[in-house]
Amino acid sequence: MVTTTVARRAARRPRVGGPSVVGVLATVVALFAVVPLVVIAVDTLRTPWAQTSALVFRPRTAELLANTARLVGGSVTLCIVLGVGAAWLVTRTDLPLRRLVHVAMVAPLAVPAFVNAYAWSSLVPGADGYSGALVVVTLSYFPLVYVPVAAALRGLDQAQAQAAASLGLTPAAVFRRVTLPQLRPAILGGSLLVALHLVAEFGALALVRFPTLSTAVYDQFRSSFSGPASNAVASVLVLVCLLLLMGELGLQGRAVYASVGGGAARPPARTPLGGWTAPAALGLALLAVLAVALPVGSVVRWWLDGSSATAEVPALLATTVSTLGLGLAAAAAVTVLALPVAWLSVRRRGLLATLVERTTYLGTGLPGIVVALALVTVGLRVVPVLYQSAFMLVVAYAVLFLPRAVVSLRTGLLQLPRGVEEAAATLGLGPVAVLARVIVPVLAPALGAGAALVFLGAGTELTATLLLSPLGTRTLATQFWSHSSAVEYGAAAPYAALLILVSAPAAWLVSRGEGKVPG
Amino acid sequence: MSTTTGSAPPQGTTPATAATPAIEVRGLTHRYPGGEPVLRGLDLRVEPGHVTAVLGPSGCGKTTLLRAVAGFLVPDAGAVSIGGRVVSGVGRPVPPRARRIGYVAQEGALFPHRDVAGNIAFGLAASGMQSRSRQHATRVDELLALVGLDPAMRDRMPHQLSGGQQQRVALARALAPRPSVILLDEPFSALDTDSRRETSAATAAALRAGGVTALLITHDPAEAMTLADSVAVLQGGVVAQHGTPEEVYARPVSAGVATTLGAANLLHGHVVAAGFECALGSLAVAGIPGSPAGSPTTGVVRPEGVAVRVDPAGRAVVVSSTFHGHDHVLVVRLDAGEVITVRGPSVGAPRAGDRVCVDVPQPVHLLR
Repeated sequence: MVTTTVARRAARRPRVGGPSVVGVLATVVALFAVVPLVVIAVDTLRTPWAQTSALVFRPRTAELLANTARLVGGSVTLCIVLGVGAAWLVTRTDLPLRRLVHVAMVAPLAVPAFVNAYAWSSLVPGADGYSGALVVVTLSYFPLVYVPVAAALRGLDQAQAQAAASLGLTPAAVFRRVTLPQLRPAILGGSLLVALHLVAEFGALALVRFPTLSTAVYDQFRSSFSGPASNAVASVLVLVCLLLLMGELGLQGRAVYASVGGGAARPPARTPLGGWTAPAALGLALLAVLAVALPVGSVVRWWLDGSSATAEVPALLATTVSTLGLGLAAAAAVTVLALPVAWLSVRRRGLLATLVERTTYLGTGLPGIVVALALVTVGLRVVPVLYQSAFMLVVAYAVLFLPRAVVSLRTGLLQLPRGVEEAAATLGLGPVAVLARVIVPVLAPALGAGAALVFLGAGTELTATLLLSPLGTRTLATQFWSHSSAVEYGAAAPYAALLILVSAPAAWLVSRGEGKVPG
Repeated sequence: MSTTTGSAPPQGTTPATAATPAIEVRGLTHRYPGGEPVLRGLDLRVEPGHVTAVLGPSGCGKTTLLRAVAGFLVPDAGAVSIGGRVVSGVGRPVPPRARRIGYVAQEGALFPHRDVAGNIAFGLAASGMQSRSRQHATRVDELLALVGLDPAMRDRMPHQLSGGQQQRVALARALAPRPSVILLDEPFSALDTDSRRETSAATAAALRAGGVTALLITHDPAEAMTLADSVAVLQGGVVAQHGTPEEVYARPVSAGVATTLGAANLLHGHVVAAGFECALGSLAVAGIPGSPAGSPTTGVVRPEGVAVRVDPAGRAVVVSSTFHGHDHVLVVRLDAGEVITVRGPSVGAPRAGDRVCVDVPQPVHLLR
């Protein structure tokens, strides 16, 4: 017992004295992620308080805040129910066609939320306001809970559940008292991601006409180009994000649940569903239809029906290429940036590591437009050449999507015993060689999943892309947006279809790579 | 706490004639933040070509010692030399990669993305591209044979191996670059009994065949005594005694060392002219008593060193009698009150309640 405590303490101590290179790199990445926040804070502080308070303390802000809150509350709850339920059915029961169901539960990731909103609002005229928004964002984002929870369920030691069953607990009680507490980190992590996405969501909510803080920032910017007004709302958004981040940290608690077993995985004991098989299968099928088949079908229908269905192929092709290029560049850049942050937070647990890791989350909760505006402010002052350059856009994607890669890499690293890295070091490898010959190859699935999540985010990003993209550069998302917001459903359809098409391989990578045991 | 270093030569005054130790640790001190010191000025010397076991209970600091030698942690104070080169304690610590050590972790820590041959050849090449070259293939085959694995295993992936096989591959991987020393961190503790016996025998054979210097961390006295040329017993963050297995077992320097190596009867008494006077009577003493006649002392008698004979007039009674197959363990209470453990042949062993006569045929080792 004491030895293991000692070993665990040893794990927290730096191996070699002096500042660690990785620590410095990770801190630089975190500082970089915090730039938009600093810009907003500085601008808010510079604005006279009377002006800020007049902009913030008015009924409209309260209304937007309430809308944001009930959307986050409602959708996160639904995402947990759907995500955990589906994950349990797929990983722990004798449900038929489990592989297929797993793919279907990850597939909504390939359908951008605004395409979903477009499909629903064009098919169901009443899909508007709160209920419409709730349905659309829940169907789009529940995989963010499903993926980590399914991975955690696969990694859990079955022996604990069996021990609980032998103590006389019913399956339901086993789930509630043994399994659920251990899923807490995965559920909270997924919920946090959903909440941050919702706080920042713009396209889908604008299409179903449900105003939140995020859509208001965009409207303010569009209507007035006035810094102070959009800034005031943005600063409220930042506070909401900080609240969410600290709330999750508080709920997460200090307990460490992750048990890292190097041994061979035991085949899971599956709960027979019996008479519940048909209802469960039907429920999941309905979910897949609503989240995937309906938007895809709607896109296809609009494309076939659309008056402008004869879209110019060269334009489509050029747009697809530029989307792929930007998405891949962002995926590569963000994965490289995420490595030191993830490594630090897993191998050097402590205040600095937590601070750095959490800081990188801040960007995700900010609407793309806020990040873009902040980068424009800084960029124009520091490196004016870069304004409206592809580089600047990739930087914005990095700030927005860093946590996606960090979360993936962390999961992978947690499953790689540190002894493996130490053994490599005794075999004569320096830190760079350990990274290149051990960490990267072993973490390939996690790296792939993280990069794919970033690609999905960048490929479907709207507001930052509209603001920062180089002149003449169009992406599938922005083209879709300009057509669908002009209610040209037919013209928008080909872009939506292509968006789903380029997203599909990335979603497939996510379904394969997330939380997979290396090797 | 006693800091006697037993048979190890005094540190700091190594004679010029003595061979350079493979590992030399001096005054190693370490404390984890917010905890008690784990190592308190530990000294240890490992001779070239020897397998040295570091034995001690949980929390005695043996893993910390190994991590300091490997370079996984920088100790608060003290020096570590490997093959005469100071790697820690003077100037910047030498990183693990430049220490020329082999490391076998508790759970093998094989690279999950490499097959057996790829794991073994991992440390051979600066670039992974060459790992399949003929030279490496020969070395891999050599090592597979050395650790007693079938050459057909070379293409298996780590997850297709049993725990024992994984440990053998880990040993082969550590031996491949011909390191000056091998560090083994409780390499068999995660294995089940059968594969543990097999794997430890294979490990011992491989280390002997290669003439390798090794430092084996273990909490199992049987493992330490069967595998090692010398055993260093760690207590309270220092080496309490270091000597051959026979020496530390038969002539422990303290009660703590005696019980760390196995069951022991500690008899309290005093030195007399004829030997040692205790509850069992006057007993012959091994060697010369370190203390003058009349001074109180403790004698150490292993359970197998006590003989009992059923005798209705005996001055002791059998409290319990446990059959172990190959032998038999009795707990005997002397009429004087002391309780003694006896191990003997299972044939014709007394039963509980029998009165017995207790005798110690061999000279007794006295603690100082």
